[in-house]
Amino acid sequence: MKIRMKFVKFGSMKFLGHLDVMRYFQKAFRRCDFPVAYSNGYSPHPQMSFASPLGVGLTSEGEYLDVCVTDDYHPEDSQEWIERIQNAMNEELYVTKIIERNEDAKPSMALLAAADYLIWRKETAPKWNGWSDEFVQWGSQASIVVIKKTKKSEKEMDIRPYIYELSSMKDEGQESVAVQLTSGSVLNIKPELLLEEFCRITNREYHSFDFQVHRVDMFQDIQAEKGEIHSNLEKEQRKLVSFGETV
Amino acid sequence: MNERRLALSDEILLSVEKPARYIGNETNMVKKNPKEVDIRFCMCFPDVYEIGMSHLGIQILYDMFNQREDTYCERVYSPWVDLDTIMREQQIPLFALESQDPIKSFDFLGITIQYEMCYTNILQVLELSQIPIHAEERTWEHPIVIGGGPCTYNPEPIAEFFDLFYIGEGETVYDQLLDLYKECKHNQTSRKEFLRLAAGIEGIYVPSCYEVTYREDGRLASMKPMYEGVPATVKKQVETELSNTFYPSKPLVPYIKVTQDRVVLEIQRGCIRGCRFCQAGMLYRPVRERSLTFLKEKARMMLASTGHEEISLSSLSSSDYTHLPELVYFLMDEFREKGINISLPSLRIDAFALDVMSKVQDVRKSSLTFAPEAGSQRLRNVINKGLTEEMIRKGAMDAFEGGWNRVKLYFMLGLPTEQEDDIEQIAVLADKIARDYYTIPKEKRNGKVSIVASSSFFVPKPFTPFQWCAMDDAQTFLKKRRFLLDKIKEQLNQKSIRYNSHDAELSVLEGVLARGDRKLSTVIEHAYRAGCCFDSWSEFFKNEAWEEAFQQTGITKEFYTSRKREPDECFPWDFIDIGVTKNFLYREYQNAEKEQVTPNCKISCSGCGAGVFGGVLCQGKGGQA
Repeated sequence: MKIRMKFVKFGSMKFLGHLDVMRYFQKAFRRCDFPVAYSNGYSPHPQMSFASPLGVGLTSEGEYLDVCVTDDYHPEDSQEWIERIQNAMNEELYVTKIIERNEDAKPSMALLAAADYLIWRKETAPKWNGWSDEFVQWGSQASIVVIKKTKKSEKEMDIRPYIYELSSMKDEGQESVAVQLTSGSVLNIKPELLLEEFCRITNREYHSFDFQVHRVDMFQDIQAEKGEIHSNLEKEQRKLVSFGETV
Repeated sequence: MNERRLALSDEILLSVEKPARYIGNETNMVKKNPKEVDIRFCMCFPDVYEIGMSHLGIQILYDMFNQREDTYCERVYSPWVDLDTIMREQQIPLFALESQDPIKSFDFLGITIQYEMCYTNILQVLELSQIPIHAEERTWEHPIVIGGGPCTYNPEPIAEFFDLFYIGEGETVYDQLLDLYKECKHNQTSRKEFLRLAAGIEGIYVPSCYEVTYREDGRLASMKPMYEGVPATVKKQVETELSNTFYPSKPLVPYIKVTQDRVVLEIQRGCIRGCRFCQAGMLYRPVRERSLTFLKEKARMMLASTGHEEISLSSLSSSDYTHLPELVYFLMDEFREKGINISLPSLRIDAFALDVMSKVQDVRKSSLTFAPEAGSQRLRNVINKGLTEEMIRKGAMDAFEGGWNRVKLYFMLGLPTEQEDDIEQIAVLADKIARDYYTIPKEKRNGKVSIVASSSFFVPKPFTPFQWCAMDDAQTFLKKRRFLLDKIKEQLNQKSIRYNSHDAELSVLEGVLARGDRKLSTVIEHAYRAGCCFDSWSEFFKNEAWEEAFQQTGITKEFYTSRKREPDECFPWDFIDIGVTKNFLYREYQNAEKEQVTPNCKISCSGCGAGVFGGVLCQGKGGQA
């Protein structure tokens, strides 16, 4: 049976790479006897995969892991399982929800269409008054041409169509930016790409570690039948649903 | 969201390799409020995290200390070179992983010393902690720095850097030491007085309480206690009740992949074999086994609490454990279903081993390991390695018939009495094994045979029958290595034989430090100041810097390595009583020269002296050698 687990990762756990997070899940599942299904073969491995690996240094409250479970798992016990798994995990990296999936469901990785992020300047970073409003202003232009590096080449690309939502917030003097970006295996726009370009254009010194990038959630596009990407201009063709919802 | 405070900033953690080495909070980490304990103890393995976290001893002591309500034991490892640079530049004090607090504010810093080549890392840890590296400069403001582990059986080269050494197994007198510490702190006793009192605890060695004198030629003349109540000899500590003592049920589980990423089940201590080059074989006598009941229970608990996918048996020679088949078949029956791997290092290849291995390993992927140590039977008799050519070839042949085709062979070059013929026999033995393989009909063979012969250079160690021996110099080692390589190339199956070898310079330095005296501390300090650290990592070993350190301090390496000692020479480590007597060791040295084999402890007692600790095999044989 296929399920999807939602989990959070923050605090000191943001320094774990995704391979270590995978090991962490495997060991935690063993500690609480969670019935993961194993692959066949001489060295069987648990069948699980991330929707989208989170970069080292980022935090998240909306990460997802696809897991195949054996017949010993009964959907009606999901709440109990969440508690048992939480007890086998620490207070900075733990499962918050289990979502049931159809037998023929595609891997989340292949379905991923967009992600929400929250970005703020860390307390240790120099204060930039008003940067979040400026960021929104910059991000709302008609086009934003950046150089996107791929493994093979560097090419110019207008990323503006792939910024779906953008807003700024202030809370007790703490400024932050909320942004929704195209995400997934076909095209993946990282928030760091925007931050770097914004700093370059506004003559600010860019240090990745001055910003905390926090992933809020991930979405699939239930309109996109073949995993095609819709630009910002085709808003009505898009129907984003959180990975945390049962589809 | 209540986040743990970390000692290092995001900027630093995101700029170094593997930041998870420094964040702590691993599964089964012990959490206590540091303000609610009397004693803060930081346990250190002076090498990188992945090595240190693989060490069983620390896991045992960590669990033991933390069972005391008045004590919080935390951990620290050597910061890797990238972080080392940053911490020096920014004056960041080295911190413990649990609380992330600076170690300099702790009561104890306990350093386990597993190999000589970590000595410069000890200085790195002290300096980064901002603790004076010389014990004499420390005050109550600083932690008590205590050393333990195999290298403390000759602690003299690093004596200046330690307040105390704990000689032997940690399970016995740590409680006494911690209680004494608490009492002294409470009574405002001076630090010096505390150390003197500690020297009175059996097994505790306080270097500053002894006066050492030398002869004109540099040899040790005498080593005497300077105060009343300080014993002339320090007695090795032995845990005699191995089935009723500390052993973790919830070992720490690191986030990143470490060297020993599995549950480790220590089945016994000591070894019956008596190989004459082997220091561990003498140090850890007498043989003591853990009971099946104890091991089964611990295996269950540790697998459940860690979630590890593998369990490994640990001992010097697993095949000698009385209940080995019962234990292994239990582990297989109980845990194979759950996908748990069973790993069995140090297993002698016999019918049982092959049966087990064929069940727990992928035959095509795994290799057989033999450690003949010497190529010829003559030299194997000299070193008392009870392994004959017949046994090796029979074992290999049985394995070949079972589908294996890969063999690893371990040898040493530079063993006492070694001649060219002994070296040549290494190549010949490797070739014979390959020839044996090709006697199997082609259709039954599993492709080509692959033989890997590895050689290390023999380093004479304290408390072995070869402690009197001269060691080869680097040139001789290299000459022998070349000779062996040429001989391998002459063999019929040379294309099936791969050969690799250890670093000669590194081995010589290890030889100097292993049998060194107090005069060497200045060399170690010089080398460290010249940038030596992580010496056991070949990419960081700076032989020239070490050479310069010897030159600047006017100390010659050859005095320690190339000199054959007189029978009655007073050794720097003679003040330690390991049970095994110097008489026995010398007798064994003479037996070696006569190429005479000494039977193992199960066949007959050779009166080594370790019987004073009352091992199972030593009943009624506790007599003096």
